[in-house]
Amino acid sequence: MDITSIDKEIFSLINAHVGSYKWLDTLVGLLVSDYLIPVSFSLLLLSIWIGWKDDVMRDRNQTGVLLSIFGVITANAIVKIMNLIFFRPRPFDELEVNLLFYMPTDSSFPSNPAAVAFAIATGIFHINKKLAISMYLLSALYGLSRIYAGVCYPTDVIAGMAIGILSVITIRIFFYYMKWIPSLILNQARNFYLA
Amino acid sequence: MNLHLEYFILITLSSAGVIQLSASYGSLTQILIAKSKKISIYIGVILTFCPIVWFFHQGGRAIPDTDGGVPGFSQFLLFGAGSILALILTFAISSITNHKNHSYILENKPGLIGLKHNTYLQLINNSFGVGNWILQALTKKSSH
Repeated sequence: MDITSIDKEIFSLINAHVGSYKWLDTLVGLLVSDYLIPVSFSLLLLSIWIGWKDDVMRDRNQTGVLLSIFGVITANAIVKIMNLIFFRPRPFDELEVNLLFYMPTDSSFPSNPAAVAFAIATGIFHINKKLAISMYLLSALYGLSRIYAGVCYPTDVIAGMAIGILSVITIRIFFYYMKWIPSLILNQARNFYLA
Repeated sequence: MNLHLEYFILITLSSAGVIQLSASYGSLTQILIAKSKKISIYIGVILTFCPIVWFFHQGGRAIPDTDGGVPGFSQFLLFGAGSILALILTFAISSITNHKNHSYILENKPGLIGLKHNTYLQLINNSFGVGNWILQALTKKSSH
């Protein structure tokens, strides 16, 4: 059995439960939304940018937010480039699927929403590990809900997760050697009382 | 109302709420709309969560981009625009409501920390000489 077959097997196992529990379908319908998790995570970033008690916390928080933002941009760029190189059909194009979401037309692999959610969570890991773990759990649920809803295979979500996490790690290394970049952004924002 | 506009309203109002909550936590008292910290927290909670309930009360809004949904990049731009508008509104309203409260303690450090003691308008006026006439008008009004 190759990876693709295992992938499809796991997908079918998860997606088969659609329709069994109405409350679960409603919950997943909300979780899988293009808006709920991205908006919640973005509002959290805004609160971290403004909400701090002292200078040390301010520098750490705002650097973490920058890590998340640059991580999301990098992860999105990687996903777009990968989509140009190859196209993987969505599960509903290939299998009998119980669909809980609309039919996206872009490539299934890698999952862009998973990449974005995990990138933001990894940026927050730099600031607050407990909060980041909750965000990782939510991101995992977000990914899982896309499988349950019939729009992604498990490997799409795993690849999206890896891209999101690695993007932020790369940006963190980049910031370590090019400290002037976050400093320049923060100092400019502080000159206008925005950071 | 189309989804783009609804999304923009959601972001603007919720961002304004988050700004109030975060400013309360960080004691940036001069961008709090209400004089009492407790009331500002209530305003923050209402402004943050009511738009979310309003936006999602019909479910997850699963609408494809080709049928009026908001694509990822547009979401990114609209979030930026909505949160900037929320900041501008907060700075404008709090500069008026807190005008009389100022203690004019200028921090040596630049940045949001200055909003612990001065309104945004006072800080901008002090640094760049912007908005002098607004400050004068406000001072005139409060002295009458």
